[in-house]
Amino acid sequence: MTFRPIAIFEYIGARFTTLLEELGGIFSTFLQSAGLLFVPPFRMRLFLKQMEFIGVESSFIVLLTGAFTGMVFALQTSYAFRLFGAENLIGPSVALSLARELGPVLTGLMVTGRVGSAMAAELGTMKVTEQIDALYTMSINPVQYLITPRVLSSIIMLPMLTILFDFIGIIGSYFMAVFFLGLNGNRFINDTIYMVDLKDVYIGLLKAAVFGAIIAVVGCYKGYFAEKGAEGVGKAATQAVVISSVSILIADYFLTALLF
Amino acid sequence: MQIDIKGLKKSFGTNSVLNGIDLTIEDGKTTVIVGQTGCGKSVLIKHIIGLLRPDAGQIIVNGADITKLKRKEFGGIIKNFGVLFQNSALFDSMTVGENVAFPLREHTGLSPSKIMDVVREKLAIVGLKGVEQLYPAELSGGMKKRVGLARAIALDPQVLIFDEPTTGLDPVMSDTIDNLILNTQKRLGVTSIVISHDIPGTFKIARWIAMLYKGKVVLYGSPDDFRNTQDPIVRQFLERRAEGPLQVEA
Amino acid sequence: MNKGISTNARVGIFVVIVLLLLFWITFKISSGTIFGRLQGYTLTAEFDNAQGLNTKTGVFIAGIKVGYVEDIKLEDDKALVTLRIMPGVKIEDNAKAVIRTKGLLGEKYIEIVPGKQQAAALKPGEQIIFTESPPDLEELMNKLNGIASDVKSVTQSLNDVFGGSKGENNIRGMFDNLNRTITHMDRLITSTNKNLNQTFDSVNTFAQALKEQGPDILANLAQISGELHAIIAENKQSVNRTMKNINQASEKLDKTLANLEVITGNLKEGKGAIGKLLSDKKTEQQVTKAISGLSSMVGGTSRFRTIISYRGEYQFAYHNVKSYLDLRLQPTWDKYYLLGIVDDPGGYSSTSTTYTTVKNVNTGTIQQTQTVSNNISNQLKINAEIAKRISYFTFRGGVIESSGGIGVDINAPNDDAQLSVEMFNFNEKPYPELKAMLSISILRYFLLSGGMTDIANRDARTWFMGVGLKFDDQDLKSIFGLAASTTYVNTK
Ligand SMILES: Nc1ncnc2c1ncn2[C@@H]1O[C@H](COP(=O)(O)OP(=O)(O)OP(=O)(O)O)[C@@H](O)[C@H]1O
Ligand SMILES: [Mg+2]
Repeated sequence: MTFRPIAIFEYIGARFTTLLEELGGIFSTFLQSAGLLFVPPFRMRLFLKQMEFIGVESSFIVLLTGAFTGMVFALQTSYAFRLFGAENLIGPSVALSLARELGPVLTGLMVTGRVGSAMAAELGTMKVTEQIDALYTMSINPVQYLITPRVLSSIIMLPMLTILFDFIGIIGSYFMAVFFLGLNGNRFINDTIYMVDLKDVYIGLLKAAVFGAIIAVVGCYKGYFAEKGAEGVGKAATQAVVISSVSILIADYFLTALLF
Repeated sequence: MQIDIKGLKKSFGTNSVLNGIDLTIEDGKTTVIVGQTGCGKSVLIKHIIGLLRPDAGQIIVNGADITKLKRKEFGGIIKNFGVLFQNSALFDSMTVGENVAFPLREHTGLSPSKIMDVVREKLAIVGLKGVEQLYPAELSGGMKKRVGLARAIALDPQVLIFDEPTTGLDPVMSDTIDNLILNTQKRLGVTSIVISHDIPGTFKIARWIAMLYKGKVVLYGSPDDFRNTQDPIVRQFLERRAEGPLQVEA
Repeated sequence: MNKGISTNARVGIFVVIVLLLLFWITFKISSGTIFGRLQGYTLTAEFDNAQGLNTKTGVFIAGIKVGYVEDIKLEDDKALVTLRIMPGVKIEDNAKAVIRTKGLLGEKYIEIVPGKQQAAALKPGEQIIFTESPPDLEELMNKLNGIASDVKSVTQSLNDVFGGSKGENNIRGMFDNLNRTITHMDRLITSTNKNLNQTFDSVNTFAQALKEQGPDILANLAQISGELHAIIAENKQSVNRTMKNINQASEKLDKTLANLEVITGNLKEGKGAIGKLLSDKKTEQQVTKAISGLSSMVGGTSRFRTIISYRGEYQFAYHNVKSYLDLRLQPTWDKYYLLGIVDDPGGYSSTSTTYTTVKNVNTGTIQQTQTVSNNISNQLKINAEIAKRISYFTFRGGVIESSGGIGVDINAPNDDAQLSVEMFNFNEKPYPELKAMLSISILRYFLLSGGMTDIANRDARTWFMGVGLKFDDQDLKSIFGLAASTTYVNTK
């Protein structure tokens, strides 16, 4: 076969089309699920179940990551700030980083790993075993039944988990700063409160809500359109994690640029 | 509820599955669809329940072409259907009881205790007892099929669509299911579409039989028409022979 | 479904806990606001330079946070800063808003220096009229370079040695001794020289006469020998006295040196001085003094300063450059001690007188003529002065160019220019050396000077122009990068 330079562009074009399709699919999934939020019936039980799964059951891993992130961050920044004799900036810098970036992003990534993949796998399995078809034949809108509660719960729970993350992260850094680095605890808290703005926290939570939407929508979309059996389900789960993670990081960039 | 299928065509890529199906499902009677494996029986009924959209052709239910209907409008029609999928399609995140109760919870205002009564009754009809708390993963293939059946009949639908209800069941249980289909049809006058590979069962329950071959209906008639036909394809199929015009595609 | 606790309960507990945390965080951060609704009132203040200020920058009175910067705007090339002050905090209309630096990284905050209590309190929205912007970068650098612990200890020991009344006495005594010694030596050497010169001149004359007027030698011999005798006799006395003087002088010199040694010993040891300082009853007083000296480093008036200066003066009449190297120790603003070395190319002027005895052949009389010649050679001289400043005038006295002297300086208001007149060397020339000089310091480190020296002696006076360098301890430290941290204490 002779080499056709145009093939490169064909490839790029095809990939681009796929990407657009994918984005369009994800976005329309989001719109559908959001729209169906306001259409009866309202199944509280499903929301609660998803909130439990996304929020309550993620809290341990979020607390764990948060605590260590705070501690490590305090330790690392202390090296730098000690050079300037500016230990009083450890608390504020940890708190600001947690509130603005690390809290939402790391929570988002942790939940993606745990929840996004699970959603893709669950919906994917339902898809390939015709459970979604079954829902449909029972005159139940599968998007409303499966996706809407997941997306909404995720949007609500991610900020909540982020609060946990921020809180435990600051506790962790406080612990590190006071018991290992020998800083004054009161001073640490006062400096932190002094430097951190409510805006920092709330914008961080807003980010988290966006990440929550991304995680659920991508996970559900990937699962909902899974094909080709077990392999397809596995692929859907993997892709959901990859796409969500990347989207979270990209979205974080834009949100930071936009909101701060 | 009569269902008229006219010139239905469907292909998946280059694989042309349905090639112009013309078939009428008579209201209040049981129609059994037979045919070689992979000939498109399941694809056909997925069109009837609106899961697949045809490339061409119509499916007319209550005077409306359901292939042109929007989802919302179609929802009103599908409510009258009870569907058993070939692989049962039980919700594996729910217990057996919840699976059967699901349509009841979604579409009736029955109290939970009333629902539990209905669930127990439907499970008893398919010969299951005390399995409400089990999860589908904990059931055998045959049990799953019967739970699927129980779920399909939970709302006492006007149209029953069973994709291979007796495949994988022992002969006694198969006959029980056949009796169930016969009785509901007789008792409630429901319209049934059954896909089956069980020839004796087919002759027992069918008012009409349709045989698909190469994406078309090769023979549509009563069980007697099938018994007496000289069509070599139908004969080979009914006589369960490997030799003949029907070939197993490699 | 779940053992024990239902989904509802779990989600409920989770949500309640998280919302409590959010409530708590919000409450903590927004202390001063109640859920976004601002409390307190605003005041404005106009600063020349709001560099380093940010919204949220704290506003303090007496070190207690009373508000924060809410907004910073540019208005008419000045920074208009809006301050939000907590409710209940009164700020008088003659209070002053000062931008200060906290910590080492130069984090800024605003301090409100309260005005008089009886002044009216500012109403919401009003402006604080009096403001002070942060010092410029150079000053900031100096501040940062300010006080290392070594400086502190040096200052302490210096303060101990020179600062107390005892130290002052030491120095005064030392200078007195030195002064006397030098004067003695000067006089001694001068007089001895004179005598010896005369002696040798006479011998010379005699020999010449002997050579030229051989025949008349015998005739004159008696007279000559008489003269010679007289000379020798006179010199004998003089030599004796000289020897005595030298003895005395060296004794005094010894004592002076011993004194000096004790002082420098103290200085060098430091330890002893600090030890003494610590055990001393006046320790607290002295430490306070030392610290207040340190604290007013920036534009302060009472810090202990050490100034080193070098000056070269070109003397137009002699085509010479006379160099001065001075070390000035200034324990308080109105007092300093100066130690210096002067390299004077024309410093040593010896006068030799030649007596020529000529016998007039015709008249037969012997004529004696006298020739005086000045020899000038290089000499190192010493400066050691005590100075006292009263307003724009500084009066100083002590050893000036190795002789007793006095001087007065008139300073320009900002000390950048100085007119000085000094008088010294009272006993060598017909008139004492009088020197008038105007010096200007430019670019902080450089000196430019000009004037006339030895004004009174008609044939010795000369115009001069000079350039020089001047550093104080701060400058040296910043130049050599010795500085580290500052403990900046506000005195006002
Ligand atoms: N979603 C689909 N995508 C692509 N091809 C499909 C799809 N569903 C069915 N097919 C193809 O359509 C043909 C008919 O499949 P169908 O499931 O209708 O067979 P069947 O008659 O039900 O067979 P069996 O008796 O084994 O259930 C097969 O060749 C199958 O590969
Ligand atoms: Mg099939």
